[in-house]
Amino acid sequence: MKPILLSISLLTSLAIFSACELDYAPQNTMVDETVYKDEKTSQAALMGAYTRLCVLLAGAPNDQNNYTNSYFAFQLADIGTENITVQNGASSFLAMEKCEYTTDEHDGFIKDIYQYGYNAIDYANNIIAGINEFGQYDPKMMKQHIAEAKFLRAYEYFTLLCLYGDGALVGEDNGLGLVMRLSPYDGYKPEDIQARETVGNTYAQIIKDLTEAVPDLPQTDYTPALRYRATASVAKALLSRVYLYKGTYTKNLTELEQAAYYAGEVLKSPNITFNDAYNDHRTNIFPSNVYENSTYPDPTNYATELIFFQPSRISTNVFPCGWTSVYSKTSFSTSDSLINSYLPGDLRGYGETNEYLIQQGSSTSNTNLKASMKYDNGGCYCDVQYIRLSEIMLTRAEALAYTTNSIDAEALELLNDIRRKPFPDGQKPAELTAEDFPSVEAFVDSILVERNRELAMEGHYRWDLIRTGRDLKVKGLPNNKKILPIPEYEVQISDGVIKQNTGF
Amino acid sequence: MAGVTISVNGKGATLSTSDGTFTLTNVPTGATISFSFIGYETENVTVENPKTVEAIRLIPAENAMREITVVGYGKQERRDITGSVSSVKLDEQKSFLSVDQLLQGRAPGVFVSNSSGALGGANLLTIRGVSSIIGENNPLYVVDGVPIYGTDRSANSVGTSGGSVSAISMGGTSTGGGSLVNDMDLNYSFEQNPLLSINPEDIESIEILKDAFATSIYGSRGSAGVILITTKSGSRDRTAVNVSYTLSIDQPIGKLDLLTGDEYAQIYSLYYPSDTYRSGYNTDWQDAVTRNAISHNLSASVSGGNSRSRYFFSLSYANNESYIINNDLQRYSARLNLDTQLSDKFTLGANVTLSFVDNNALTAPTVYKDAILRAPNLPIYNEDNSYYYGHGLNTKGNNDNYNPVAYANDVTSQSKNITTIGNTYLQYDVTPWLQLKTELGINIANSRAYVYKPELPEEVADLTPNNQASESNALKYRLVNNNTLTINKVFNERHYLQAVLGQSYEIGHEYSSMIYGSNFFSTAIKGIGSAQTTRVGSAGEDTWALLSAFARVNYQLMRRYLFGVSYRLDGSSRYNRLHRFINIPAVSAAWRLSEEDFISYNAPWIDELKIRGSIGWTSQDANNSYYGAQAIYVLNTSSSYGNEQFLSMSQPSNVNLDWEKTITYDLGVDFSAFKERVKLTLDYYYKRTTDMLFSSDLPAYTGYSTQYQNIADMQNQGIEVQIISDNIVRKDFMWQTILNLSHNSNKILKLNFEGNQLDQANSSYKYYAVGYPMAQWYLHEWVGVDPNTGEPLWRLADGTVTTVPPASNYETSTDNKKVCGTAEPKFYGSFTNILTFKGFELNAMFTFSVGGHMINSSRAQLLTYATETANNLSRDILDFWQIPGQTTDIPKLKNSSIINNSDYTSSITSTRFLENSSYLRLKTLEFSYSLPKQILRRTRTFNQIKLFVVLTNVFTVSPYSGLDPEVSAFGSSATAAGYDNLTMPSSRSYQFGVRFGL
Repeated sequence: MKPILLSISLLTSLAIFSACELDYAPQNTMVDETVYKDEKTSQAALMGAYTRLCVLLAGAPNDQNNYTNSYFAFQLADIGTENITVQNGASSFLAMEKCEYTTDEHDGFIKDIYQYGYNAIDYANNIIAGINEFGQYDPKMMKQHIAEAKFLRAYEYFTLLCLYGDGALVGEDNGLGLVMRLSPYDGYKPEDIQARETVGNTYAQIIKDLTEAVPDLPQTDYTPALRYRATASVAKALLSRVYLYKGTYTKNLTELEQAAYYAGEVLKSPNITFNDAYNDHRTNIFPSNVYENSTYPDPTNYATELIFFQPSRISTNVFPCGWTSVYSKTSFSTSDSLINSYLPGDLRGYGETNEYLIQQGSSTSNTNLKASMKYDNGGCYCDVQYIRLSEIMLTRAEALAYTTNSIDAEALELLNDIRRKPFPDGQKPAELTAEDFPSVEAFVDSILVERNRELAMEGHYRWDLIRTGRDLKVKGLPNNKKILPIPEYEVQISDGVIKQNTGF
Repeated sequence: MAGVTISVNGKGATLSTSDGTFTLTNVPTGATISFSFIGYETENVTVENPKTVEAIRLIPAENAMREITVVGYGKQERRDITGSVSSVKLDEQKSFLSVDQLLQGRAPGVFVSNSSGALGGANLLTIRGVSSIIGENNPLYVVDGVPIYGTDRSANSVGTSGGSVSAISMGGTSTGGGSLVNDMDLNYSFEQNPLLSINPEDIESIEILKDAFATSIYGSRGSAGVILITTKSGSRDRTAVNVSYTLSIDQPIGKLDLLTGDEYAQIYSLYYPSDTYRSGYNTDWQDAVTRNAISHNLSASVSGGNSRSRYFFSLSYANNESYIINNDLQRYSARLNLDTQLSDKFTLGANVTLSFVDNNALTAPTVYKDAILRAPNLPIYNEDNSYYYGHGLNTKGNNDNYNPVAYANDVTSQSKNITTIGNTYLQYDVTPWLQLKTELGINIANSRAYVYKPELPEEVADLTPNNQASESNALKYRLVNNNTLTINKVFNERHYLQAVLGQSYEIGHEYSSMIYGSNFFSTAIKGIGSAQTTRVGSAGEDTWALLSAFARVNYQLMRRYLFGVSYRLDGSSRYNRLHRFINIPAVSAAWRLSEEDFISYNAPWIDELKIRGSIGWTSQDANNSYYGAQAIYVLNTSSSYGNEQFLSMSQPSNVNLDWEKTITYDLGVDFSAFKERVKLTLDYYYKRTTDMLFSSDLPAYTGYSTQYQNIADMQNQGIEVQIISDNIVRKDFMWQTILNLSHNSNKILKLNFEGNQLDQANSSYKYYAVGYPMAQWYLHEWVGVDPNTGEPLWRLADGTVTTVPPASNYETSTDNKKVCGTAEPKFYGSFTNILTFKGFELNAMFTFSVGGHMINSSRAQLLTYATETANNLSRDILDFWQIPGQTTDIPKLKNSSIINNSDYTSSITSTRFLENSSYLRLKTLEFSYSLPKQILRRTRTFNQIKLFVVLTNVFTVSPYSGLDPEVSAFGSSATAAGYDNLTMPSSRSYQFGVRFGL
């Protein structure tokens, strides 16, 4: 009997021992291992990463906006320039205008935008690492998802670099760039604190991500309604912007050639096409798919020139865009200076009829001020254009002017296309010819004027001013004051390992 | 008896086997065989017939304490213990519903506070202070080797709102800093006592392991202390039958002094001159919902055995009424403990308990609270005897306040819990001194909570808690397998080695679901499946596991020098692979001075003097959330990105997440003298907890703002003493006094990046800062009422006295708060006197607590009149300031601290409601009479008949102005303790009982 009992007890113990397991995943939630294994969930995580880009740039689904919808990277390109007049009460916007920041701003939007930029980067990092480690689906799709995440990461780094990179837009490759985060956040120890990389290294990473992404992204463009995900064209369009911003100040021909090249590549796309209808801006592009009176917009009505946008349309009433006060003009309004920059009859300028892009806006609030109609009618739900063809055309025109150092014929044609489009037939200004420009500089100036007329309130102007060495609204600032300081919080928590920008 | 050392003429020792037999060869006639065993007198027998030796009976050594103490994975004699362990002997008289109540005042270092008078509600029990901020502070309970299921607040709270939406928006004031009055969690949850499933009558002994050496064998769950519960087993000698019955009558310990209907109408008419408050009825709502509660407890057991087997079998039935009407609780429980010897070498056994608790007392706290707040000028019934709802002709009133009598009678809120705790084992005695044991334990807890709120008459159909039901089901089961090897060996009579080496695997599965139904077509339909609208709140299962190895070695040299080493390795599934395993070592040493000649010669009156010390680690898995180390993704169901669904991360990964660690130093003295007439146990301890989880800021470049990190450090130090003195010992008369006294002080040494944090750990508005004890109140200073103007006065941080409430200025509100102390007492303990005369016994136990604080939120609510809810008020309000020069602490009704319906005077984040909660309470007064043996012998049936009367909470002396200084609105939570939020006070109970032994 004894051996039997002994063996029973031993067997029982062994049976229980063999089941000793310490890895248990949650049943109601998903973790890295389960998310990145399959295409469906992997893609859903990637879409989550897109929403984080929106949080940084211009608004996202309600539950994704972890801070009030007041400050977005998109706005900072126009606030502080002549495009916008800030109301007296809006203290943080006034600080942006003066480029002088107090603790309120440091703890407020300066930190928020910085942190949510990095949060978006962390999502992208998780996707890249997660798919590489756990992905078990069609390798082509895995590559595409990783490429999209790299595109997002590059876009996010580039946005932060424009805002916080010391000398990033004035060719100082040795200036302080960004803390580089290329792997998922998985816990913090004070001794692991990271310092900022140089501007040059930050750019290098951005360009590396984008160029690596291009071959793996879909080579065919989506129909306009679906252009909220990256394709090769979108990455190339962003590359042209990156090279233009980087190379302008120092007139670095290699970089400017790249800007012209990538812009040219985008222009070759058969699906992204320029529409010269004079009313295209108001009817097809702006505001895009406004959610009004509880009705959903027509998702087929999208301009063919769209390249990449924030899609609020499906989730309309829970996916606000960040430009909440444009229409009501409560914190700021479209300035007279911008309005005066348009030729008479230019539908992108101010007019009392509904054809114009600048109007009175809200008829109940701040009635003496003007509002851009690029955004919604006050409900704050509409798509936001991140990249569209007009920008790429003007980028190519500008880059060609620099690289050829001439009044390049193609550049001139691109300028004329943009310039003459918003006038009805019969009222269009005469085509510009090479003879109209006394110098290449004058030609470039003209392109830049047109660039702001076309792209005002779309997140470009401040960067155009800095990279061309011009003043912001406040005159005479050195370059290192034109950007934002690093949040003071970051300097403190890192015990000074993270250095403040030289202007602050 | 196993393990007895048997030697012949002092040589050739052998040991007896487990059935007590032994074999010696070549024993010459006339030789002396000696039998020795630790704790017993050595017996010498001269051999006359070399073939057999008559049965030898070893007699316990006269001076040796035979008391056997259960320790982790084993047993030891009390005098051999080198750690700090308190044993609690079971009280034969009083009938308790749960074990924790029984521990109050019984052991030094154990703080127990009856959190409320709610039947079946959880109580607060901490051992040697609070050892975690985020994690549990409840000790680990182990019943016959099976750890019992989660005892923390979150694991035992049942929702009682009954609706898919919060049912009532409660009255009270907006206080510019948060108000507990509006804490939904408090209003709509009931924390059940997890120990209800154990029938205290079945318990043989309770051991409380306090220092690191005692607890480290339980490793990662030992830092809050361990309570070992051992249930009864049968005796081989005889069959015993015990039957006991107790009748109890309970009533609330006190009654709040509230306004009558007429006074109510008068006060509100003064404050709202344009409103009408018609008086006429004077309803005493407190009386309407309370009663003398009658409870019956019947318990029977039979135990016995033969030479090979032992058994203990018990059945019990408890039917308890709450002092709130229509609220009651029933418990049925059964236990069978059995062990049997299969052969010389093999023993198997099982301890199994089944219990069913039907708790119908979940509405009691809500009913109590609503009754207190309900306007007293409203009647209970309409003229047709139907319930009167709403606020009638009063202009203002709480639209949502249900008639509390109707609520108690019509609303169903119950929880049914079926629990099985079982442990089966097989033991193999390899040699008399070496045993192998394998145990399989199981704990199944199945509970179903159901709340049903019937449809109301049409005129009040907009009352929100109406025509809806909710049901939560939970099935939790855990399996524990322990395999141990035990050694008990004496070498050369000088060296005694005791060792246990083992391995354990524990796996828990927790399934829970929550469903809601509303819009029932008829009140006859109760099943949620038949509701017209249904919703699933949650459903899913979680699994966790713990894999451990452990060892403990105790070594004694000449009974004088004792050494112990213990070690445990724990691996938990809740941690990242990098931090999954933790080592928990501890060492101890003791010196039994009384064995030394210089004591035994010079001070022979000393029976026992032992100095012991220990150092060791314990640890805590504070990571309450499952899978805290992994990034978690959730599907966003309310919006999409374009046409695509998307996931967002609800938490990023946290691979650094690690265990909280506590190092404990303990120095203790065990002393007894004068033939054990005086016994003293004294302990000093210092506990330093490091790597406590706390939320701390991250660099913004991580993309996240805060995350739990193992960064906080804290210390606890204290002294605890127990003195047992037999003052008078005569043939027929005995007087014994027992004193337990404990002191603990706590200090945070390190916190997060900022060094302080307000209300991070829970919603109890406590403040944490380096250099202060944890869980401080952080309050605005209330100065009083200006006798000249009747305006409330406040003191700002800079000393200025102002009539502007500091909470009203959002910008500077926090700057003007100050640290105001904690709920933890400076000293607590008990003082017991037992007088025995022949068969009579009188036992009086006082408990006391000195230096703790309480926020009297009850009073705050009963002084709040500036809201639309127009609740009833304390009679104190009648002292409101009326004429210049009047000294009172109630400001004039219309004062400048009431700003737009926000009455800052009744904010609980001010010192106005902070009170000293010290108390001295005659906790129990027991009187019993046992029939004399002579009479019993004549019955030829009974060997015990005992009659007893027990009074509980007889009287209380306390500066606290509320009803009960012991209550805590947050149940078992130690960090959130110290709020009386119209919490049900304890009951005063009268128990009458009889116990028969056959």
